[in-house]
Amino acid sequence: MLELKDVHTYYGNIHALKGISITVNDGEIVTLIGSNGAGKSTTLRTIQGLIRPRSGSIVLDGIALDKVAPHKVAELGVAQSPEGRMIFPRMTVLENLEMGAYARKEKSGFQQDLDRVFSLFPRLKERITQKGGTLSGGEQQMLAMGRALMAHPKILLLDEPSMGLAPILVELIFDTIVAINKEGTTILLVEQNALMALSIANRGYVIQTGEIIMSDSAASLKSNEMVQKAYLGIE
Amino acid sequence: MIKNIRTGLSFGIVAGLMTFLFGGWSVAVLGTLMGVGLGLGLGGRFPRKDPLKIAAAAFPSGLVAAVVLILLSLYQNSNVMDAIGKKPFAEDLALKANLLGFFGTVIFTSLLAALHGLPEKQERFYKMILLAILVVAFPFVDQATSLRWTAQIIFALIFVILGLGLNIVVGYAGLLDLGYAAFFAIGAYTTGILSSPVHSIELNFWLVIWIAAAMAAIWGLFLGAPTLPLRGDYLAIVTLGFGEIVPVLFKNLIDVTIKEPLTCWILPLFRIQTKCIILVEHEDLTLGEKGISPIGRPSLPLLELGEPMGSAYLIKLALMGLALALVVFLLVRSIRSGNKSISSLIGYGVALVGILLVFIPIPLTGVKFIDSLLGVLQPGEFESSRPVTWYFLIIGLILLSIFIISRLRDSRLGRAWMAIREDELAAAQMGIDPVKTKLAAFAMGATFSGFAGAFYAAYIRGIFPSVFDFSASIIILCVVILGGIGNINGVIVGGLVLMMADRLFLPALKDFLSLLLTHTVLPSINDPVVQMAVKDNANPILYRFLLFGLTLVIMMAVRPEGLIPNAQVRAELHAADEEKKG
Amino acid sequence: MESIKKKINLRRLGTLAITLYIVFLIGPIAGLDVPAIAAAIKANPLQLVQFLIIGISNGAIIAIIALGYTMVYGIIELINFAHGDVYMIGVFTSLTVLSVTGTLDSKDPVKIILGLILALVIAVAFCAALNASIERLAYRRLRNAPRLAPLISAIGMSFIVENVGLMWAAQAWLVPSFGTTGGASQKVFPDMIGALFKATGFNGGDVNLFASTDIALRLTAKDVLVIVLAVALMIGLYLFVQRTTLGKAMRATAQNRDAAKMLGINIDWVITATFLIGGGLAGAAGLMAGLYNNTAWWFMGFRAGLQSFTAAVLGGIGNITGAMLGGFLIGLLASFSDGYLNARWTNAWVFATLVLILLFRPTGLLGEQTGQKA
Repeated sequence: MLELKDVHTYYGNIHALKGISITVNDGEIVTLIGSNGAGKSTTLRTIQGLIRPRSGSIVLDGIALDKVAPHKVAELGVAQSPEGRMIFPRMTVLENLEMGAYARKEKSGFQQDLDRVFSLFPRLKERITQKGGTLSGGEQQMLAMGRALMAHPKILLLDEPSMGLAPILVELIFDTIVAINKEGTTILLVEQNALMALSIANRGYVIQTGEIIMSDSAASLKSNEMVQKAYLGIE
Repeated sequence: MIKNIRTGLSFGIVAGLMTFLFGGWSVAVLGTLMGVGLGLGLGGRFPRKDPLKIAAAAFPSGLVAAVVLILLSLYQNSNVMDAIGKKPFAEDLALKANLLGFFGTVIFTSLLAALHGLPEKQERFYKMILLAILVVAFPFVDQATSLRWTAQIIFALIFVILGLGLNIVVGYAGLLDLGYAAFFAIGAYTTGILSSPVHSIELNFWLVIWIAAAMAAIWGLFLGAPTLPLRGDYLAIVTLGFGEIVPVLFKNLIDVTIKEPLTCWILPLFRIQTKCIILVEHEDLTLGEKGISPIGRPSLPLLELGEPMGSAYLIKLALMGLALALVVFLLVRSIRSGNKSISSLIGYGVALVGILLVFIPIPLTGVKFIDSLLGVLQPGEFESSRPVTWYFLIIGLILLSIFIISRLRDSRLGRAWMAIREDELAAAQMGIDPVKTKLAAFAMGATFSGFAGAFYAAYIRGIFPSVFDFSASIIILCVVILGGIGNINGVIVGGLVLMMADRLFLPALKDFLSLLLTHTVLPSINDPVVQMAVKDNANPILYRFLLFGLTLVIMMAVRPEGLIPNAQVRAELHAADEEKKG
Repeated sequence: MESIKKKINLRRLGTLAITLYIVFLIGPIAGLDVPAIAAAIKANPLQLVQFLIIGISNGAIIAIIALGYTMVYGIIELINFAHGDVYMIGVFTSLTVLSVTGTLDSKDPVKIILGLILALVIAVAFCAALNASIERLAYRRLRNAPRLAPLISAIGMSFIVENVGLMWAAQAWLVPSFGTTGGASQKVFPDMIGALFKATGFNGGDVNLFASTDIALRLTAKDVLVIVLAVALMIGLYLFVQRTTLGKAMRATAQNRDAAKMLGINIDWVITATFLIGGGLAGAAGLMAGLYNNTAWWFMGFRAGLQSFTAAVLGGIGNITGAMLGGFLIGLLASFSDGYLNARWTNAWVFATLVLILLFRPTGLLGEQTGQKA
């Protein structure tokens, strides 16, 4: 579904992504793991169109994304729960979710998708009229993901959903991610928490200082010695 | 080669068109200035070697420029003068003027371009000399050719000093001050109050100028202090506010009564009877809109050189000053580099001659040109009808300012300013006290405003509050933005270009257009409505604000670092562009 | 912890106390003579109400203009210096339309009403387009530049628009009522509301709806019209921003631009829409001000802009309800300053208010952001 080939992205003169190639097939959960500053968020931002790659190609179901403006990328079916959640603090939960539906093609399924989000995240329904800025960290993460789901996307990009959350919430979030995937949404998951990420993913890529150094099935990566030492904390 | 010819062509066209506005001897002056500019511009395009070769290479461009200039100038004299209903310039004088313009262009183009072939230090040295000669000679030439540009140049130079001061605040320390004219007002009003018979205080100008500068500096601290916690937009707005309040203050301080509030009305509220302390009662401090005038003028005591204070005296004095400066400069240079080159020897020779000149009664008459110069320089008092002495005073102030500011820039304080400009937080963590640094920036910046204000008050002889309003602050900002933020040379060029455009070019254009309209255009329009529309709108002075506004907008869009940029600022401003591309 | 909090509060209180003392010490120079003012109020209480009415009416106009400032600042963090001048253009546009359509001299009530509606429509449209063009030409390319660049560009734009106003006011061939006094002088904006009343004979042809015996206090139809229209516009804008998709998109963009981009919101359009709406409001305010104050002056945008911007900051920059509240408050401040202090000092007092707010409560009365914007 989504294919990145040899993508190079720069921040000014800093070479952030040095020839990234990633493939995500329909229905998969693919994870991109790596340490801080490796380029994980940059990859997602490049896919989303917030940064334009200097070279390389990004193709979604046959449509090239690399020169497309971010709002058009969203219209093409790429939704993201961004790093830091980025929910709209002074808008209510409902309004945030409504905004999520801004780019969707078929407006008719709005109520259905709304119900689906609330069934996935019942806590959001409880707080439906609360302002986004007053939610807790975990609730904000749910809202960010729910908002992305409201776009009824082809592919869902998740940027470090576990960041700053208590372990029990992390479990909840990841269970929900699996549920979303089971309902048919393709997911590209970027995570620092490699253990959780690899336990739910089908395949994984390891990125280090802007380069993909490994690409394999999640299970293989999990049992890989180097990965275990560097990212799983297993000696 | 073609590129250079094209440059020469464009310079020639611009200068030639300018002669339309001024006529007369302007072709000579414009030709010389154009030659200097063209030479400077072309020089940079050649590699740094073989000056004679460069001179030869630049020659064709200079020739083209000169020819175009002359052609346009002659056309001006023959056809354009007719069209505006003026009598053409006398034939023999026009010939002389055009020849001077022609040779001026050609010679100076090649000369200035050739300088670029010399090693950098020598090039700078000769450029300094040339600049000094131009600067010193200008007012005399202006007087002799009755172009009357000197008064406007003085005005421009006042704004140059203001620009240099603002450059400290905006350029070095990165604090956008939109109310800088307030300090100009403070300097001017301090001078006015202290040296005008209005308040029966009449101090000597040479003393008052320092008081005015100090006063401005103190107010720089007061007005800067509240802005310390603010950043960016908000800082700008608050300074704008102060810039507005101060002139309003000066306009309305005509009935000042200060009563101590605690005793006068707070305590009486509680029935505690105390005597009300009145500090000041009905003082008319600033005379409001009437303005303060007349304001005392400086006087020239100068040295006694054993002869009456005539023109020859002044010329000799100037030459002696130059010679002394030259000697000092050469001495310093040779001490530093231990190098004795031919140029040094020549320099010493010239200096010696200069010093001797003072004591030799050289007859300075005999050439008509110099005769007219003698008419110019009468001794002693500064008078506005003879701007020459004012001109040299302000040149002196500018040299002083440049000296102080470049020392500041290269000092620890200057680096501290640049540090807080780039990143205040990081600078604070490196041990730079942002409070003291920012206050110092405001104070230093205001000081130069004080100088300018004092000079202005004495020069104009009377000050009125409407001069110092918001648009003045913005004009000064324009000077800095146009010239180059953070660059002394840039500000000087920016000030000269902008103010000459505003005070010389626009009025000349207005006169030219109105004459042109009256004699040629309007009679050919039949519809009275159209006639009225054209007549009302063909006044370039109406478009002044447009000029300044466009300068700001266009510069920000195209070249925010200014005409002569500071390399660091340029990098900062274009780093953002780099990020976008990435 | 407690003692530190106490220290900070003491310091702030101390600074506030000292500032207030200085204000009262020096204030009388600017007319702030408290006992004298108290006496004046006691002597003529009706005058106080009159100033109140004037303050609220002018405040309504200021509030409309303030909306433009606050919306633009909320979405791109830029002070659109030219906004006040767009309002001035609105005044001139409506005056020109009224003049060219012959409405100014008309005695036919229908023609007057149609003329006024046409003037409103054209002023709103023209100013909206003008404001959007200013964004397109001067601010868009500087969106990623260091903060000073668009600010300086905004000042430049303000100068340009002011000059346009100056030139416009000189076109006596277009609007004969401009006269031959040149572009810099104040021009008359005829009292069309009064004319309308005279033409219809409504209320006996008298524009005063209520007047006290000595006419120290009058409530005119103009006051009512301005206030009603302004409130209607404010309610309209509030509903727009709260209920419509575009309005919500504008709020979202203001709160987190990157997230908005990711959700498919076209930032360029949203920003343009903001400028269009702000400009349109300024145009409407222009017509209202012309009808109310009966003058048109090329420099009126500066004072209006200053007052409106202060109102926006007072209410909390970026906050629409705040701008409305701030507008009325500043209107009252200006009215009382003109009435009880001294009209010459009003600009200074408004600026002083601005400085005081920025120093002591930069988030404004209803503002929600914390900390300084770098």
